[in-house]
Amino acid sequence: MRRLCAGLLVAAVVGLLGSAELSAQEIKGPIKIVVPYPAGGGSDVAARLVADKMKDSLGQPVIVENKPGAGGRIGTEYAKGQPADGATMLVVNPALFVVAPVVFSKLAYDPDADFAPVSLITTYQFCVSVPPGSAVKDVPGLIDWIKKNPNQANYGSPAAGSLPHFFGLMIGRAAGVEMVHSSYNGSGPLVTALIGNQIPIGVDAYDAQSAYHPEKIRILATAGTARKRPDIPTFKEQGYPDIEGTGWNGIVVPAKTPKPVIDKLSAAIVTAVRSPDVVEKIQGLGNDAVGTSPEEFAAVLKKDRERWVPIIKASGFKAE
Amino acid sequence: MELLSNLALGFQTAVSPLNLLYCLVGALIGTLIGVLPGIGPVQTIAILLPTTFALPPVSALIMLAGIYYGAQYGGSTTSILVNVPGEASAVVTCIDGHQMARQGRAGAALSIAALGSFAAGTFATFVLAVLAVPLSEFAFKFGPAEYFSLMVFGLIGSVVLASGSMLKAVGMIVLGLLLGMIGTDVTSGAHRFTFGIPELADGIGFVSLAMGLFGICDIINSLEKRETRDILKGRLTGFWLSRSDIRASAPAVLRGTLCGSLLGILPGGGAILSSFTAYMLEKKSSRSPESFGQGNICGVAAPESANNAAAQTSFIPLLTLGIPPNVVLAMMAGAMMIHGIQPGPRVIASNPELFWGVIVSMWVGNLILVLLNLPLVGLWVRLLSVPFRLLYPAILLFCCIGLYSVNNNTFDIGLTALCGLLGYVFHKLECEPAPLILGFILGPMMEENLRRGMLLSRGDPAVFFTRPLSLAFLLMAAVLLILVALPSIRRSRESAFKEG
Repeated sequence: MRRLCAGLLVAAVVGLLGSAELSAQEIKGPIKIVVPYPAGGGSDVAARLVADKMKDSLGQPVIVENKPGAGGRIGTEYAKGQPADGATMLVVNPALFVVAPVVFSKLAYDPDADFAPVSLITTYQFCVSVPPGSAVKDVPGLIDWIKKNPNQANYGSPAAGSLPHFFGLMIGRAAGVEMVHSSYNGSGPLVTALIGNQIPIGVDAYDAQSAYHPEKIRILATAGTARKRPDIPTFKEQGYPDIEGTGWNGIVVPAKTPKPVIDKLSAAIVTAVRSPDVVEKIQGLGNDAVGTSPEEFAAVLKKDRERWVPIIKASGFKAE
Repeated sequence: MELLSNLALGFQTAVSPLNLLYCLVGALIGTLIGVLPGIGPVQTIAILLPTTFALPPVSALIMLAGIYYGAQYGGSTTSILVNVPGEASAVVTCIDGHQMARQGRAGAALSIAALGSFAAGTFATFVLAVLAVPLSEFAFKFGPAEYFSLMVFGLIGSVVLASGSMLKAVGMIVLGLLLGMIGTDVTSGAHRFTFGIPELADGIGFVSLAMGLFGICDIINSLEKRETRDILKGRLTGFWLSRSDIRASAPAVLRGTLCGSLLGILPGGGAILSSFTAYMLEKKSSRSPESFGQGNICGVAAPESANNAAAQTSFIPLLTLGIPPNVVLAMMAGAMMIHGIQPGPRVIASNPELFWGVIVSMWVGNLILVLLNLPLVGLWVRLLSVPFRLLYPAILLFCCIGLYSVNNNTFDIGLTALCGLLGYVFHKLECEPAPLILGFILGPMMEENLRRGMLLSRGDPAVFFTRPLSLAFLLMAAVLLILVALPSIRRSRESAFKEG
């Protein structure tokens, strides 16, 4: 009898553990993807495409919540304070996870201590472009022009402290000239200035430039390892293998989220991002769709820090 | 001939039953949110963006465009009737529009706002169709030097044209400039006066400031006065304009339309800037500037025409170059991208039915608005003619919802309340808030362009005098300054405002 009781007890405990195992992957209630930028922007569109697909594969509602402000830091801080049960995800990028920790002395979140990577969703290349009337035709020509005209070598980026800002410093370094940086209030005004020939060089994300008048802005090179558009060579192909830079949008969750939940979410995101219609839509925006495991995302993050942090520190840029 | 066949294509697209329906829906939603203070086209388009996923792209854009220009119509209604601008672009309409309402001429004010908007909308549609491509080139002539000088001219102009004490006007502009400094400096990326509050990193929100200084402050004032402002009952007759009204306002509509069409094209321009500018132009060119602020019909006709014209011509940079000139158009660009359409010159070639369909739908939408709105004014008015004890909490509630939906953040609501209190203090000190708003808008743009101009010229200020357009603006500013400094003119200016 006692043995039977003990046996039943063991069975019950095992059963409970088993069900606990199952429920460890279960995510309660609607899942939200926090986008720390306004609706309609690039990361918002990507998040909405992914949310729409995840809803079907997970069989539960997945919604996008926009929490814009302070360059994404408000939404990031907000997501940090949400329960770590898998019901809250956050879209982040190198500005929030690579640059901000270096340039802010008081940052309300720690990318590593407060968040855990889940999957990348998109990547985008940087590019350098010149106004329509410019005599510069390729990257060697640009470097040559910068060397000969150090007093006019100004470049524009969409924001001070953005990755394109630091990417421009890389180009100046290749020419041995400290170019003057002028930041614009976003990609739109920068493109206006380029088309109007108000600034000789523009550095921006490829999707922000390609979205505009291709006949009016001459993109000299993209900064990825492979060509983004068949007719635009990379820096590497033009003899500058060190000038490389890729940006990304990735999804993270609060750090204490259980690993099985993270893996489940990651798998769902990968499936969503790789579905043909999503790939096509993201391509249409000038970006590349990528889904990764949490570990691959962490490796990209580490590599990017190794690449950018020395450049950011050398520039002396501080946001306060 | 090509234009005719293009317009025919546009008509075919725009008057298809489905698109006509979405045009109507957009125009109605636009008017409604225009009437309700606090909820503007930006928030509405942001909220509706996800639902446009399901629509065909042309219908989606037609509806969103309808919201934008519908809001310009609707915004004037609350400005005139309750002195609460439904839209930021209707702020100046409060000045004379509400005075007209107080004099029992609310009907006439509403009529001229609607008719002026329609005339401007028709003209702007025409401009958009004929001149879209060549006109967008004009904006590119403006470099940092030109922008800076234009704004210097604008700010000096606003001091000269401000009514009341010039000292107070200068003070308010400077205060506006200082408030505009709060936030992230565009040039260096440094945070200024943010006191470690992340919400202040983007600066004080324009919506919060405008709503606080105009909307909330006015509610506080009227509660204090215990005055029964029953402008809404029984006096809403006389929608027909008298012959003298038409004679006075027709040129104002024309000037406002031209001014708005031009400023709408400029990047950074748009409905708000153009309504301010049109009002100032009107006051300056008037033979009786002292009557402005006292219910001059031109003070309603010009800015209302201007903001509607600008709302439409601001599509030019977006549809021809893919550059959104302001926040609302940036939302439109987002809507296009959701459907996989890159805003830009290729749109005209690759999606002609979309380009011309949206353009023609704007004219159709304007027609719908004028046909619907004058009869519906009664309905909007009834919406607003509930007792104050119900009306004010409701307005405050809508303001809160609208404010919250801008950033999904409660901080903006608190900030607005603070701005409301600030507005109350200004009211007690008899300081006009309008110059502050102008300084607040132009200040950061002016600083950005001054510093960029100096940066790109490596510290040589000559760039502001050697570029002809820039020099012209600076000279005009200097002339204005000299005129005001001349004792005789100054005396007559002051007496003019005293009479008024």
